[in-house]
Amino acid sequence: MNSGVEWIREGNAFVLMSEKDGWRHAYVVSRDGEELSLLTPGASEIIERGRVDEERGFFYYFASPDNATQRYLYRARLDGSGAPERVTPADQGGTHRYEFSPDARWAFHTYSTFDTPPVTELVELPEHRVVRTLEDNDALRVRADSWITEPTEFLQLDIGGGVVMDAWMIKPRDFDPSLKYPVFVYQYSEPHAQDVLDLWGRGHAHFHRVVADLGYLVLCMDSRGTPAPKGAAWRRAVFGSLGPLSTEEQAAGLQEFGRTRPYADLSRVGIWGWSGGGSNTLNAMFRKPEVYQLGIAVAPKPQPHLYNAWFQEIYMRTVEENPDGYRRSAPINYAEGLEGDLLIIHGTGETNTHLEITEGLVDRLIELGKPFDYMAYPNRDHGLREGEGTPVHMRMLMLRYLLTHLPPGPR
Amino acid sequence: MHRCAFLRLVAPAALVGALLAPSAPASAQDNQLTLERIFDSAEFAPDFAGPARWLVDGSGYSTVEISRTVRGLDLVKYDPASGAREVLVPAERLIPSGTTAPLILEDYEWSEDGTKLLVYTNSQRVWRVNSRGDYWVLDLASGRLRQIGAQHPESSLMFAKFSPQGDRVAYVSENDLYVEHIADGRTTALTTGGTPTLIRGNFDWAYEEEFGIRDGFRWSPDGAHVAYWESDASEVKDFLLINNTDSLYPELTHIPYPKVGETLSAVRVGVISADGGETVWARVPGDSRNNYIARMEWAPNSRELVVQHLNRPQNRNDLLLVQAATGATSVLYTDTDDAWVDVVDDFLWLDDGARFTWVSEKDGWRHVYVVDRADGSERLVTPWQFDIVSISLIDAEGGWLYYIASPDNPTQRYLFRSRLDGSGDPERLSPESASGWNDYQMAHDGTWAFQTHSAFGVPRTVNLVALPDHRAVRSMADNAELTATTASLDRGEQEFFRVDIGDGVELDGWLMKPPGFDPNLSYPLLFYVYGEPWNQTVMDNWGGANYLWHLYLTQQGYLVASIDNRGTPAPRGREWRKSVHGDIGTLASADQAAANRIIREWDFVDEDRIAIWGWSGGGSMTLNMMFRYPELYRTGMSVAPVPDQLLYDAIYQERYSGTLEEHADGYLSGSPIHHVDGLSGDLLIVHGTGDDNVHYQGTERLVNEMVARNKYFTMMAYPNRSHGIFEGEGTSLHLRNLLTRYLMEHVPVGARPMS
Repeated sequence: MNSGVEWIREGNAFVLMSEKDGWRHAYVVSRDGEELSLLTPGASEIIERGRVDEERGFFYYFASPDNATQRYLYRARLDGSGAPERVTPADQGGTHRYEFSPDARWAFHTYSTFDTPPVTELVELPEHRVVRTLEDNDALRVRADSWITEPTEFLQLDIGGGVVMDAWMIKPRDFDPSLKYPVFVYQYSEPHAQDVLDLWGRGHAHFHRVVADLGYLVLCMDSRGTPAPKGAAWRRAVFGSLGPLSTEEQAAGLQEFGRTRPYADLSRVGIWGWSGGGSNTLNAMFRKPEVYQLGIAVAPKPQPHLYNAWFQEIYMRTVEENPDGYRRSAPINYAEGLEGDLLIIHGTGETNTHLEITEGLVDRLIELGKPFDYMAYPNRDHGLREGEGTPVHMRMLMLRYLLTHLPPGPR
Repeated sequence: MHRCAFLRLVAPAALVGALLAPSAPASAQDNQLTLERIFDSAEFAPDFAGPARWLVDGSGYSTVEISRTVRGLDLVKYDPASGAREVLVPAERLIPSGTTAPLILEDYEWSEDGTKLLVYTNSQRVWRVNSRGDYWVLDLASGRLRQIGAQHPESSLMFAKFSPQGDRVAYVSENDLYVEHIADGRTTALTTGGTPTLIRGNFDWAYEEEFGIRDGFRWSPDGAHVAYWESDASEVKDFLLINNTDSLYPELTHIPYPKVGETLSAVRVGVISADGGETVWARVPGDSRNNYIARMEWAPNSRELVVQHLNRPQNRNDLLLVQAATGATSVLYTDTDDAWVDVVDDFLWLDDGARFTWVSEKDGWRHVYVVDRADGSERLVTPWQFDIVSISLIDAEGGWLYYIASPDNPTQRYLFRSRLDGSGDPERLSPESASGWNDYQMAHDGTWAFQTHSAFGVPRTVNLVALPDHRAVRSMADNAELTATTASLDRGEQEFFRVDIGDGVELDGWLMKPPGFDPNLSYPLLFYVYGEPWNQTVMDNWGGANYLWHLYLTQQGYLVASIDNRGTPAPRGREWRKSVHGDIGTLASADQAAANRIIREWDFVDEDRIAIWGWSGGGSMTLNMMFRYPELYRTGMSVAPVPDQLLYDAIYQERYSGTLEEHADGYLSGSPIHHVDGLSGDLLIVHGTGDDNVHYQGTERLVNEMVARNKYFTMMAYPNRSHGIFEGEGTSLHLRNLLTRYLMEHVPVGARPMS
C-alpha cells in the first residue's frame, strides 16, 4: 500500500515513500530522479499514504507520532513548506480511516477504539466538518457496554536494550487484583501485521473477551518485526530469520508483565496465534517450554522454506543465500523441546500456508514421540471460515482445549 | 475391509529381518509392560518357521534356515520321520556371478521334477503385500543361477511360475504376461500394451482386496497354454492419494477404485498359446462390467477351464465350464443365497474330473458337497450340524476330507477329518492339549502336517505332527523366549463367557481383568470391537500386539472385553453370519449394545466409565456405538473407520450391504455419519491420510458433518499412513500412546468402591 508513486505536476514529478533515513517518509521527486523535497521530516513516520490534493497543495497521510497503536489523518504541504498538521480532531483518540472523494474535498471518516464500536460520518476537508453521520452503531454500542465489563488496558513493556513493546490486556469480569490469574497470550509477531491496535475488533477482541470472562488475563504484545510505526530499525530487527528474536521478546515481555502485575500467574501461561502467529506459537512451545504450558497454533508455518518465495525471501533472502537463517527460523527444527500441551489446527484446503507445511511437523513430532493434538479441517482455507459451523466450531475447540489443559480462574 | 492389513505381509519378512538385523537386546525382564516394549522393540516379535513346502514326491519337506557360513539363507530338506537334514541349496549357491552376497530367499518354488528352484527376492510392497520383486532360477544339477526377466525394471516381476514341464517360467511385469525359456532366456511377450488400467495377469485394487486374488494366470497342465485374466479399469474412476510431505510439491497416486454403485473394471479371461498368438476369450454371459470372475482353474485337463462367475450383488455363483479352444461356456453348477455367496477356494477335481468338491451354505451350514460333473447331482459329505471353517486337505486317494471346524465353541479351531463319501462320523484329530486355535499345513498324503497352535495370550508354536494320531514329532518354532516372557507378565484373570441377549441369541465374549482384581471394587471397562463380516475378535488365539496392549491396559487397572455380534464370521451357521445382510451396522450395534447393558450390571464394572475402541470396521462400529447408544459409552476411539458405507469399495460393501438400488435404506441406517446427532461422549478419530483402502475422505466428511452440527471430538490425521497406520518412524508407538493417553484422560483409571 505504500509502494509505487503518485504523479503530480502534470507528470513532471511524483510522490514517493522511502525508509532510507530510518523512517517512512514521503518525498517529492522530479521526473528525472532529483529529490525535490522531503514532505514529512522528523523522527516519526507515515503509517500509510492518504491522497494527493494537488489543487489545494496537500499530501494527506496517516500517522500517529506519539502512540504506535493509533492512527490519525495528517497532511503536509506538497511544496515542502511548513510543518505537517493533524487533520483528525485532537479530541478524538483511536484509529481513523478515511475514504476520499476523487478531489479530496470529502471523505467517509470511520473511527473506533478497541472498546468503542466504529462510527462512520461524512466529513468535508480540510476543515474536517462533519456533514452527516452515516452509521453510529448505537445498537452495537449498547450491547458492547454490557460485554465490556473491564476496559481493555493498553500498556507498554520495557524489556531493556531500549525496546519498549506495546501491549493490551483484557481482564476477566469481576477482576480481583489481589488474586493471581492464568495468562493467555495472543500474538502474531511477523512483519505482516500489528495486533496491538486501538481498533474495534482487532486481535480477535470479541473472542478474547469471552476467554477473559472465563477467568484468564488475555495479553497481546507486538514485538520487534511487527509493522508498527516505530521506525525502520524496529521493523527490520528480524531481518534474516523470522522467529528467533520475536520468541525471545515475547517471553521477555511476558516476564516484564508478570514483574509489574503481581496478579498475573506466570506458572499458568498459554499462547496462541494464527498463521505467522501459529508459527511463533510453535516457536514458543518448542524453544521456551519452561515459559508456556499450553499452545494453540492455527495454520502455522513450521517450515518457512515451504512458504511462498515472495513473502519469505523479502524477509529472509533465499535459502541458498541464508541457510542458517532458515534453519533458525523453522520451528520444526526445535520440536524436540516440546513439553507442554500443543494443539495444531490447519485447513487441508489451504491455498496459502499449505497443509504440507504442517504435515511435515506432524511427522517430526511422531518421530520424536511427542504427544500433541491436531485438528485438520477438511478443505478449509487459511481463514478457516468455509463450511457450515466452522468458525464457531474452531473457537469452541480452542476454548475446550484451553479449559481442559490450562484451567481458568484466579488462585 | 481388512483390519490391520500390515499383519499379512509375507511371513518370511520376519526371517529376512532376523537375518539382516542384529538380534534385539533382551530388555529388562519386568512383569510390567510398557508401550515401548510392545510397539518399539522386537521383544515380542515371534519366530516363524519356513516358508516350508511339502515335497510332491512325499520325500519330506523343504524349508529355509539362516546360513551358518554367510549372510544368507540355506534351503534345507528334512525327512519328517527321522529328522534327517540335508542342505539342498546352501546360501553360497545363491550368489549371482559377479557379486558376493547371496540372494535373500523370500519365497521359492520347486519345478515339478524337483531339478530347478525358482527364487523370489528383492521384493517391494504393492498395496498390501510384497508381491513384486526379482526372480532367479537355480538349476540344481549345473549350479547355474540365472535371473528371469532381467530386461524388466528391478523388482517388477510378479507371480512367476514354472511351466508344468519345468522348462519355462511365466511371469507378469508391468501388467503384461511373458514366457521365458530357462535354457536360453528366449522370451515371448504373450501380451503387450499393458498399462496401469489395462491389466493382464494381475488385478485391480478391489479384486485383490476383496476376492483375495493376486496371481492372475494359470499354466495349462500340458504347458501349451496360459489362461489369464484381463481387467480393463479405464472406466473406473480414480481415487487420488495426495502425498504432501515427501517432496516440495505434492505427489499424487491414482488408484482406479470402484466405490459402491460405481463402474467396475471390465474383466475377462482368455487362453493364449504359451508361444504367443491370439487370445481366445471366454464367452462369459452378461455385462463384463457388472459381474465378477473371481476364480479360474484348469478343469483339470488342458482343454477346459472352470471359472466362478458372480453377479454384481454376489448372491449367485455360476461355475462355468469354458472350452479353451473356442471360448464357449456352459454352466456346470450354480449356488445362490438370499444374502451373499462366498467364492469357493476348496474346489478340487476328483476321479479324473468326473466329480468336484464344492462348499455352500445353502442348508444353513457351511458344508462340503461332491458334485457329479455329468448330471450335476450332488452329495452332501459333511451332513452334521456345524460349519466347515476351511478345508485343509482333500485326500482323494485315501478318501478323506480334512478340515478345520469347532462345533462346540465358535472361538476355537480344530482339525477334523471325515470320509469323503460322507459316511461315518467326523473325527477330531487335534488333541485336548491343543485347546485354542489350530492351523495345519498338510502333506499331500495327509500323513504329516505342520500344526500352528496358539491360545488367548499364548504365542504361536509350530510343530511337525504325524497324522492321524497327531503325534508331535518335532518343534519347528517353539517361540520359547516369547512364551516365557509373555508368561512372566503380570496378568489378571482372562476368561471367555457368553451373554444371553434374549430371543435365543447368545454372544461370545472375552474379559481380561486387572492383576490384583478385587471383586468388591468397580473398575473402568474398555470394549474392543470389530463386528463386521470380515473377522471375529472373540478368538482363543494369540492376539499379538493388540493382546499385549490390552494386557498393558489391564495392568494400568482397566477391564478389557470384546464381544462378537451377529454378522461376524463365527462358525455358528449361515443365519448368524448373514442376518446382517442389507443393513451393515444396525443389528451389529444393537447386539453390542445389548451385551453392554448386561455387562454394565456386573458388580465390578463401573458403568460410568465404559469406553470402546476399534479399527477399520471396528472404527465404524465404534462410531455407531457412540452415536446410537451415547448412554452406554463415555468414550470412543475410532481408528480408520468407514463413516459412510457409500464411500467403500463396491465388492465388499455391496456383498454385505446389498446393491444401492435394492438397499439404499440400509446404507442410510447402517452408516454412522447419519447418526452424528446422538454424540454426547468423548470421541477420538484417527486416520491415515494415505489410506488406499478406507479413504481418509470418509473421516473428512464425518468431520464436516460434526462441525456443521456443532459436535466436538478429537482427531489425529497421520500424514500418508495407510490403513495399518504403521509407516514412518515412531508411528506405531505414537498411535498407541495417543490411544492410551486419550483413554486415561477421559476414562480415568482406578478401582472405586461400589456405588
